[in-house]
Amino acid sequence: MDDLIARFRAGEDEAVRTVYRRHAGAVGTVARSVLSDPELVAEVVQQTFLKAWQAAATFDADRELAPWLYTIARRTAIDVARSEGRPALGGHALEHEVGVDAPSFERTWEVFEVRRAVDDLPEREREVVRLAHLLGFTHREIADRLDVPVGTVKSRLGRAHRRLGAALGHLEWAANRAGPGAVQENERR
Amino acid sequence: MTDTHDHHQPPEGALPGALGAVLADPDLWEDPEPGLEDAVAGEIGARAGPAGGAPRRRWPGVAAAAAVLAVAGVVAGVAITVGDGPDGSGPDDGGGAPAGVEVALSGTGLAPGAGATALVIDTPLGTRIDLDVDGLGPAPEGSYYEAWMSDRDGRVGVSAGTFHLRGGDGAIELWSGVSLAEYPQLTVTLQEAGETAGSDRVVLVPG
Repeated sequence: MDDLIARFRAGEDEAVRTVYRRHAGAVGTVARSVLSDPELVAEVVQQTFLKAWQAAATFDADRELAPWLYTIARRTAIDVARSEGRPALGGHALEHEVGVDAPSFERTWEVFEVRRAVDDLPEREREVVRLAHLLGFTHREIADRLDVPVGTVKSRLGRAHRRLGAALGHLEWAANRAGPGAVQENERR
Repeated sequence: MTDTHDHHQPPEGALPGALGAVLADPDLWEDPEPGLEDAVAGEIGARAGPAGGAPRRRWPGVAAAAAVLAVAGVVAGVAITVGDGPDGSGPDDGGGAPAGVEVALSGTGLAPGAGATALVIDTPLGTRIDLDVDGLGPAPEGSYYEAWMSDRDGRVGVSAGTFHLRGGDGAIELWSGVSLAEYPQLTVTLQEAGETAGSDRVVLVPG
């Protein structure tokens, strides 16, 4: 990590792209929590990484990069939202109503962390999580879509859930984990 | 055991309901726009300078810095207020907080007769330096000028950007991620393309 930060500070192309790929998805969730305009979301993502690079000289490489990026992203998103909320110059009407009614710091942080945990999953596990949770597919439907046995889907989903649980155990949800009763209830349907 | 009750809940160790709700949110899964990675890398690469790919912007070291800055001392810039009136004057509000610090720079033996005025402004994006250069010749091909902000001891220097002046004197806009309050010594060096550290060919110093 120390070497990556040093190379990022230096603006080395590969290091910049590595940092971007690891965190851009999560940074995007922060931007979308405040802004609905895709162009403004992209602007926030771009500005976040640029600001992070500009301030990298003062970043302590022993610290985690993600919380620092999160703070920059949230501040940038709110600043952009406020700028958009000012009367436009030249009489141009705002195309989108942009409010600065941002979710709480903690809530946005939780979503940021979930996206990071999802991005860290192996691709095959990430895909079954996406199909199961985002698209609501059953195990059978996922198995048919991926052309794998249902047992494979269950195994991948189980491993993914365990990884997510481990990665996100520091969040408040860990204290509210549902017990085996929830699974049994579903099986009776 | 057959899967006769195909359901939407995970098969074991059910996820907390709140996490399941987040995983079901399309906003979580949306990826950044294609091309944004190239835009970010390109913009940072352009601002980082021509060395690219090698650790650079290492300050030349205490001895070299001290030799250059011993007579300059800590920058005692003049605080000014950047006004928003048509002639640049600000409202007479009886002492509003200064929006910038004006720093005078003069040429060293490498650039006698050169001078510059730097207007250093703290902004939400970083520290902007509007550098108005006079009498400094164009950097020869294969070289360029680089602005540095260093700490009070001259031990740590942070690059504020590069320029070449091959089109003539003028106003240059530079950016830094550090503040003048923490890095108060502003200098300009002449660098050779490919150098991985700040050179000791200092051309402009405070004063």
